[in-house]
Amino acid sequence: VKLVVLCKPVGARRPVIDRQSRLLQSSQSFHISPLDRLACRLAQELRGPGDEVIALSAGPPQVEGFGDALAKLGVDRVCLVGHPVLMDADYFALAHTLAAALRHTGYDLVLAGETSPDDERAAVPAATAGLLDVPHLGAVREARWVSPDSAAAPVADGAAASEPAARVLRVERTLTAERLAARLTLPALITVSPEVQLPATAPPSRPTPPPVESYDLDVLGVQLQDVSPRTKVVSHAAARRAPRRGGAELMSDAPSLVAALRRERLI
Amino acid sequence: MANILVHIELSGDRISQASLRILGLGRQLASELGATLGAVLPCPAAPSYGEDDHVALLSRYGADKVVLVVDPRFSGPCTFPTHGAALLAACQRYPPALMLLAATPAGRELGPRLALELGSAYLPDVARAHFSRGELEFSQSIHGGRLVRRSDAARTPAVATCLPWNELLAVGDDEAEVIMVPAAEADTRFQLESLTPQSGGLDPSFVRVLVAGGAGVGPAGFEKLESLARALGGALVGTESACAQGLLPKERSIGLTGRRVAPQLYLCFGASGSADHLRTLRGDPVIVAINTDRRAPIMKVARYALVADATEIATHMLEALANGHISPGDPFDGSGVTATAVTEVDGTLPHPGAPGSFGMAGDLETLETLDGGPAATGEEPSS
Repeated sequence: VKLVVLCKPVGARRPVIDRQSRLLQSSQSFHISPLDRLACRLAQELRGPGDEVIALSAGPPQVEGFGDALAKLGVDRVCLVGHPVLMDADYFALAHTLAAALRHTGYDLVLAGETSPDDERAAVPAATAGLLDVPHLGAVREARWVSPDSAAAPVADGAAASEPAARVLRVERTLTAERLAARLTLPALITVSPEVQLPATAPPSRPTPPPVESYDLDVLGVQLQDVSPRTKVVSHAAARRAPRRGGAELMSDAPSLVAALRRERLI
Repeated sequence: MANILVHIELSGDRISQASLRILGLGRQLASELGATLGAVLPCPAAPSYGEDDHVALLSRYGADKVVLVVDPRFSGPCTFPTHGAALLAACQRYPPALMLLAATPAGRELGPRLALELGSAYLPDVARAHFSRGELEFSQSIHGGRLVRRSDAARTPAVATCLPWNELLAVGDDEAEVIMVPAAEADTRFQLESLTPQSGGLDPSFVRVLVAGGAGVGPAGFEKLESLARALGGALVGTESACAQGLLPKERSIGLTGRRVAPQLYLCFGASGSADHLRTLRGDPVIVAINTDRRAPIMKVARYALVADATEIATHMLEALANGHISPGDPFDGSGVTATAVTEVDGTLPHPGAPGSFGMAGDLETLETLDGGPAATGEEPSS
């Protein structure tokens, strides 16, 4: 079974806006999104005998230097896709690239962090699942293999080495109002919640660094039109909350504050 | 005529307040564009027709058409495997120029997949959508709230998930056309095993009312704040320094390394309001600052301020709330709204079509734009 973790390269430097309000990605180095690290830990927990864990990352050409950081995640293989066109890539461009790379490496279960520090929308994994036509479930807090015949019976260690068809992933997620348990047949894609349940100690890392492979878009069969942006950026601007004109309305006590909030129908 | 479709989420058997607010945004845009506004409602059973049913409610909140997709599976969680085919069927019946969803967990899961299937642009977590020089423009907060990106869709249709609490409820008439669309097959590779309602705390990322405590509030104060948050139908969060001191668990932390939030009302107790703290607030919430330091930065951005001890004020607010009627807020993953409850609210809202009848609290009006020059440079804090 191939477990592939999508690792987002997060720029180590803050972005800069030029005078034409274009966003300049000045980063030459990247760090791994912390939530993707959690996804990687979960993949390692799910790894059975004979399974392979692959870290996959796509981004601008500088992502090639990201291999060393990924290699330290305790994975069996690192795959990188770097291309200048991915510098300004939108969600779908990245999803197209990742989906093509996944088809190239092979996959049974794809894992990703729910969000990243520079983007909180969880759009790329969902779009990747769509392109691969596999079921996707987000905000997963728990995941374990179960037997296809029984929802509750965990797969024994020996059975975990069996074919993907003999495994079903039981996942749980907790949103505000509901706790959901579901079963996903492979192949599937899950995004991992920041509150994912993991053992305190990480599994031992590999004694030798894993191989790092780089792919070109041509090799993956990705055409430039596949990765053209579907949105047109009009401008970027620095954001900060401006002081209120005239300052805050100073309240004398709690009842008057409650009354004011009621007046505005805020409570 | 162009169509704008809005996905309507159910919370239990009620329509979520968040969806009604996105319907308000849809009404505004549809009126400007001269488009038809359709509310797409996947529901487990056909609604009974009456004063307070879903169709009447959606009509009153601005829908021209209500597209009903009925299937028992819609009583379960809103995910793409269960609901995706229904929304696509509605889009095939009424090809939209724009599809709007609330930026809820469900909306975030459905949005990218829908956009992919429709071959459209996807604009997530939109803080503001409006027409600028005849083009529909979307504003999003990016890079941890440091930057605002304005973009428009290079491809149509566009699919956007929008922060709901910026939007005002709209008012329509009672005569929306009802269209039944057959539910397509669900994705059988996803098998729901169980769905258990949670009675615990609400998810702070998706509530309307948020109570925040800073390091200046002690353990006893946080107990009061928890009670206050519960009384207001909201959730409690802490600043990073408060959580670092163990006053709240880390998952309740807001800040650069914590979660981002987009409430309508943000009650901030005993926190100074650093730039990093304020960047975590999406949209344009009403900020209430309770702090002993009248020069704290939070005072400059707050609409209401109280210079006093946080615990004391929280206690007095609880007393004041207990002394009067209070309707809990409508966290959109928690309770929805009933038609009756909404009627109480909409009495004060102007009718669609009247000048300025639809408003959005302008996120960007409260954001100062720096013209030219670098916005920010330097090393990111390590995470």
